[in-house]
Amino acid sequence: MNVDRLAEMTAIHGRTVTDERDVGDRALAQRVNAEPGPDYGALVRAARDGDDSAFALIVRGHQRRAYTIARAIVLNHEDAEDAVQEAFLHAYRALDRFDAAYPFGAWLGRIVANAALDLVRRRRVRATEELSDAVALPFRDPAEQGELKARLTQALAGLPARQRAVLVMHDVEGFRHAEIGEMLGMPEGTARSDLHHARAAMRRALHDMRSDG
Amino acid sequence: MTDSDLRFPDDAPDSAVAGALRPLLAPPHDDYWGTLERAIMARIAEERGAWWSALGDWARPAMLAAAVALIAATVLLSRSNSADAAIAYSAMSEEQYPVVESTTAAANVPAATVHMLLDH
Repeated sequence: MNVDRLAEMTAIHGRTVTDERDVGDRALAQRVNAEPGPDYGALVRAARDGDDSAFALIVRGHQRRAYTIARAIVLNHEDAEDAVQEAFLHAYRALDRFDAAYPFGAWLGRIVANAALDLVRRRRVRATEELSDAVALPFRDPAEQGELKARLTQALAGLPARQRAVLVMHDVEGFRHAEIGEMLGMPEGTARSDLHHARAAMRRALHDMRSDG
Repeated sequence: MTDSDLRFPDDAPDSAVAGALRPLLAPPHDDYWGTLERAIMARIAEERGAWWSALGDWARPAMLAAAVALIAATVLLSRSNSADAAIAYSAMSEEQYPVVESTTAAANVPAATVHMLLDH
């Protein structure tokens, strides 16, 4: 496939998906959620025909969201990376089965969530303290940052994997309840209920931190 | 009441929770995405390579097996045709005409009887 055609397919309202950071803000994430941007149907067709550069564009456009979802479910960086790689590999193998009438992001999100949940089932959730130390919270006081991180991490790890997934898909990635239900194979009402419980736990952790401070 | 009837005041994203979660879910460094993309594409290339090399490994024996099967099928078909032809020839050459013989025999019975009675 020629480069101009790929560039044309990946244009988003005058922008081009060159890096995941391009879709970092919520407004754009929600636009991507509605899939008005890249013609993923065309990219999928090109990838099906053996065009690796088309699949690379798909990866570039979705890896950040895939990583965040996987990370919320498996809780640590190494497993999240494994789950994301497995998910994209699975998606590549299953390109023939992708229905262009269905949003690509939701289709891939389901694959990512399943890959991560499978990993959790196989390895079981690792201990809370194994969460990556590389994360940095926006607090200047190292003690406060460490304390908040520990509490949030504990609260997050205390949730069932599915509730973590729902929380992150909704609040961080901007998916709708119906989409989350579709991706995780459960009714929309269950997604709402899971979100409610997960948020309550996280809010408690944040509130306790503020009260103690 | 159905699941869709349940309503929680949770339709809008919670910015406080999201803000607290984002750093926890961040990758180890900012330029991680290029690394991840390369790792994924390497897995894809490996997958394609494995497929092609598996095909290459199997191609030669598979072609040999196909040739043997083709020869065997040809020989069997040829033998089968010969056997059918032999059976058909045999059937035709040994075919009887009972109606003609029976008619002749029946026609000769009264004459023989007359000859026997006259002789005695």
